[in-house]
Amino acid sequence: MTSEEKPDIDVQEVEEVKNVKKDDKTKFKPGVGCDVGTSNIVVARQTEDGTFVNRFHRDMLYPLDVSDESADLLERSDYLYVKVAGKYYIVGDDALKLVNAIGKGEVVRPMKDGILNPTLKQSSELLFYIIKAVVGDPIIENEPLRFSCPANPVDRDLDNLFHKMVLNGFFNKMGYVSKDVNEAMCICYDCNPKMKSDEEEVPLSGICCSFGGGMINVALSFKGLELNSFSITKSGDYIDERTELATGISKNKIIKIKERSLNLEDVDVSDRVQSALSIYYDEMINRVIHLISKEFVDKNSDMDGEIEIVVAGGSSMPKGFCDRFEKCLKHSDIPFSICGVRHSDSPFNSVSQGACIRAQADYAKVSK
Amino acid sequence: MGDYVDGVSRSGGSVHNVHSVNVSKDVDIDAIAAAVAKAIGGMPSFRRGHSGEELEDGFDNTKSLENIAEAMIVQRGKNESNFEDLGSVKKTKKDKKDVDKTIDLLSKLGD
Repeated sequence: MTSEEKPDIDVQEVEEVKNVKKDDKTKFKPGVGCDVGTSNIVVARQTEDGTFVNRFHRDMLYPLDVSDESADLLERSDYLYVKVAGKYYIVGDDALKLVNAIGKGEVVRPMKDGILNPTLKQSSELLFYIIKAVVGDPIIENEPLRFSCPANPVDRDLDNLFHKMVLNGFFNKMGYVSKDVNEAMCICYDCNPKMKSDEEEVPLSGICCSFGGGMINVALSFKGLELNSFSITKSGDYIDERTELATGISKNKIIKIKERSLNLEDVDVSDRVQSALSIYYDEMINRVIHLISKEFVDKNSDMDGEIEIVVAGGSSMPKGFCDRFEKCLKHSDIPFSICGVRHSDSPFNSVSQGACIRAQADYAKVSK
Repeated sequence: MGDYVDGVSRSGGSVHNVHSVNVSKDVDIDAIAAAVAKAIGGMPSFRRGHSGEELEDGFDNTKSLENIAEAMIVQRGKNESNFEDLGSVKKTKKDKKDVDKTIDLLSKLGD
C-alpha cells in the first residue's frame, strides 16, 4: 500500500481541545500508554467505545530567575509555571512563545536525545512534575502502564538503562505497574503492519519507524515480536540545529516554520529556512534507510514475504514526508521485499496509542 | 646505569632502582619479551595501552543504578506551580474490532 491509499481500518481524528481539565466521568478501559519523548509527552487512554483520548504537552521549559519583574510577569499573564530550586520554569508551548517574544535566552528540555537530559541539573524533577500533571492518577489499583523507551543508538555511546529505571520508579511511585516498551514497536501495535505471502497476510509484521524529536527508532517485527531494533540520534532536533547553523535563524523560529508551513511536496526554494529544512530532511531519510539496510544485512534478518513499512512520529508530519521516504527507498539495499510504505493515520499519537494497546494487553493477561 | 643480562644486573644492583637499561647486543630481546609476556599472562593492563578508554570489567552495577534511579525521584525542597492538570487533548477513533484483535494477540506474548 502506498501513502496515498487509504488504510482499511477506520481511523479519524475526531477532536482536539486545548488545555482540558481531566474528566473523571469519562469511562476509560484500564491500561495507559505514555510516550515520553524529547519534544512532547503524550498520554493515551482508550474509552469503552474504542476512542483514544491523547493528552499531550510540549516537553519544553523557559527558565526565569526569581525577581520582582518575573513575579510580576507571571502574575499578569496566564503562563503555566513551576518553581524548582529557586527558578521559575514556564512550561509547554508558552515556553516557546515567550522565548520568541523576548528574543533572547533558550528553552531547556528535561529530555535530550530520547533520554533524561544529563546536562540539566533539575531534569528528573522537572520532568516528573510535568509527567504527573499530564498522566494523572491510576483509575484502578495497580493499573498497568507502558512507557515508550528508545533502543540504544547505533551512532552514539548512550545506554537507556538508567533512563528506563528512573521512569519505571517514578510511575510505580504514582501507583501504576509500569513497564517499558520499545518506541518503534508501539507503532507496530498501533498501525498493525502486514506481511504478505502467497498463503496469508501475517499481522503485526513489518518495519516500524518512529521519527521523534531527539531520535529515530526502528524495529523489525514478526507477529508482534521484536526481532531487531535500533535507534539513531540524528532526527528532528538535528535538522533544527543544522538549519540554524546554515541560515543563522534561531532554532526557536525554525521550529515554528517547520511545524506550521513546511510542505515537502512544495518547498518554497526562495525561503532559505525551507530550503535548508528540505535538504536536511532528505539527509535524515537517506541516513535511516542506509542504516536499516546495514543493520538488517549485518544481522542476517530475514522475512518470508513482502513486508510493509509504517512510519510515524512528530518529525514525520510535514506533508510529503512519506513520498520522499518511498522515493529514497527505491535506491536502497534493504534486504527485504517491501510491499509499501504507510504513514500512520495519527503520526503524533501513534507511540502513545501503541503503548496503551500494550498496557491493555498486560491488563488482559493479569485478568485472565 | 648498568648492563643487565637475563634480568640480573652485572653490578648486582636492584632492578627497581635502575632508571634506564642498556641491553647487550648479544641478548635475545625477542626471547625476553616472550618470557615477560608469559610471566604476566593475561594481565590486561599491560595490553591496554594508555588510551584511557573505559573497559568492561564484568561487575554487575545494576543495584547502584537502581539506587541512583530511586534517589532521582525524590523531590528535593518545596516546589510550587500554578497548575494541576497539563496538556491539550486529541481524540482519535479506530476500528474497535481491529484494536481488540491486537490486544488479544499481544496478551498471549511475553514481555
